Amino acid sequence: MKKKTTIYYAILSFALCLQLLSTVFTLSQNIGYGQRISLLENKKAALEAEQILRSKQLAEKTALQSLSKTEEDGYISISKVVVVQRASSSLALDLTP
Amino acid sequence: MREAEEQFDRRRSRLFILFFYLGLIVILGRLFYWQVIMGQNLKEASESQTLRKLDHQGLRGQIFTSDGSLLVGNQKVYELKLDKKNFQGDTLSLAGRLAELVSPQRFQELNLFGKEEQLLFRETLREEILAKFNSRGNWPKLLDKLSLEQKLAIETLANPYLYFDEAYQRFYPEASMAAHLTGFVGRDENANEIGRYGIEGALEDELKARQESKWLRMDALGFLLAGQKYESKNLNGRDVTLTIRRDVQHLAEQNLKWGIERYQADRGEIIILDSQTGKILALAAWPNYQQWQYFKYSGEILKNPSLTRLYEPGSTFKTLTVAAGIDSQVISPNTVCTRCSGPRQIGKYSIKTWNDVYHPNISMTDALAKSDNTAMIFISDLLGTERFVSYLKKFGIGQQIDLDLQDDARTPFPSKIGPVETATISFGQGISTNSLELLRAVNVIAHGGQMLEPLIIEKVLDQQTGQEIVSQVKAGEQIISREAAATVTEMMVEAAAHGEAQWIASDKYTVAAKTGTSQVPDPNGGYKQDETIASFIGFAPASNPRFTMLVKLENTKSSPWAAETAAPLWYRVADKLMILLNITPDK
Repeated sequence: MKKKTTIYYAILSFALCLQLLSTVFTLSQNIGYGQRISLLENKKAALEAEQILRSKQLAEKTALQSLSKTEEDGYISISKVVVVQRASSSLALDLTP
Repeated sequence: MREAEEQFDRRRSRLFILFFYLGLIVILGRLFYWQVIMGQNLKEASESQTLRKLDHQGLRGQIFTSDGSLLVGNQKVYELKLDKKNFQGDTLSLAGRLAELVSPQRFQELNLFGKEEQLLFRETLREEILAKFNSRGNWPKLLDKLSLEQKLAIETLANPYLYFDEAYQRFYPEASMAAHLTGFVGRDENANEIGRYGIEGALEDELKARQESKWLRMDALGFLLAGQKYESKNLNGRDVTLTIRRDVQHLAEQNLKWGIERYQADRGEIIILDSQTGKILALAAWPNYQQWQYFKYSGEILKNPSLTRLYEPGSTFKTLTVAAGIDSQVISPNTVCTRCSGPRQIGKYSIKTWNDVYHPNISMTDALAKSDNTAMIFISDLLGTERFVSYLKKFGIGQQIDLDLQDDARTPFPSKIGPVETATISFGQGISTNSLELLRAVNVIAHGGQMLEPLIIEKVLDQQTGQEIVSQVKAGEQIISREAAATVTEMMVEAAAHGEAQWIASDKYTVAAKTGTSQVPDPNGGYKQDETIASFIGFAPASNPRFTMLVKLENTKSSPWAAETAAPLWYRVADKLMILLNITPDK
């Protein structure tokens, strides 16, 4: 009878410990969930802001309007047109397969 | 004795039961009070502690050119606010310091390079900041639209009473490029952002940022409680890609500016279409405006003149008259005009040629090259009013251009067309059109006689779904036969090579084009004596058209003639366009 009681209380204690661990684990997950979401949201917002800033900087650096102010207009109109063909004698094209 | 004890015990137990039930009733009463009577209040109190409304708003969609360059984007800006209630310090010196820190960037934005104007600007800004110190409210906004650099500069003051709010606003990396196409973002009567004019106005529903509000349960630390579905959506508006090419648009705008100054014109336009698809590669108009300072300009300048500004096209319209004559086979290029030996008398009007010089028995090819008004009347006579008008309508004259721009407007076709109107319309006077309508009509000839509707939207990207809607080329009716288009092209090549603008014709590639110097109607009747609209319209290379371009200059002071103003500008742009579009010269 005494042995049975001991086993009973041992199982009961074990079940209670399991329940305790499970509860602590689950609740810690719950707390972590909100924190994780918040962290990820902040990270996402920071990355989006960074992306907007980078794309703005890129657009500013490659803008034709600003480049044209600093660059010389090096365009020279074609005075004589030369149409290059494969048969042109002036070209050292190797036509052999 | 024993009986007395038992009786006492019974009384005690009854008393106990009585008190027990009384206690139970009290507890039930309190439970009823808290759960039923006060239940709703407690629920609300609990929810107010745990439920949080989260508002999310995306950003307005961006606008790109067809080569993927950003034309209109978003940028983060900052508002500087002051904790006026607790502020301790010298407002005068703080205002001066703020004006000093913010000014250098503003000088660049407003193109203030003179020392005096910079000083004046800084002083005005200082006064404005000072005025805001004295405004009502505990948190006055001292400065807005500050860049990150300006914010960092202000932060060096380490003033504990200054703080920043963040906001997003439109950003234009290419400055005012294609302003008439993009439109701008203004405010409605409730001070909410709304697109106005151009793409911003027409595609407001596509571009505008989405909003979303969610109620979520939070813990005491403000973190989300588990067990709730949390979804992070992209709430940005749809991105729009235009058909214009950034380099071609830049070329058109730079040259238009050059042309306006060189020929001392009041207004001007350059429009370039892809001849084979109808896609608008560039649309430049002058006077232009800066989208971020739209409030400084009149409504007339904000409208896209290529759609809203009606004008009588003049001789460029003769290409359509000739095309109608050739397609209906009432003339051929060699047909001789038998009524071109002098001015034509129609009713009480005597219609002359532009230079009062007449060529009896002139061929139709020469008539187009010499821009002979009497020969055009000859063609319209052979066609008859009904058939002529039918051709013009098929060419899209008076038919709305279904373009995704807010300024898109219908142009009226004359309601009553008698013999005089038929005669004047044949050489492009007495009928109004807009630049894009005329370009669409002439592009029919470049595209083998088939109508192509101009396109300005290349594609629309929905960031939420990743879905991309690509615009399809809108090929329309065959207006004139392929053979007729080829014949008219040859006649236009002759007109460009041997017409009024022959001295500037290219020796590298063939051009099919026509000049036009039209008169401007006077609101008091008749035409203005001292004002003309010079235009040059055509396509190249004529053998395989790649682009169709219209150059239009209004009220040029250097010369009234298109051959001396619009035509040289057309060739100047075309020379560079041949390189940008990688076109092999065909001469």
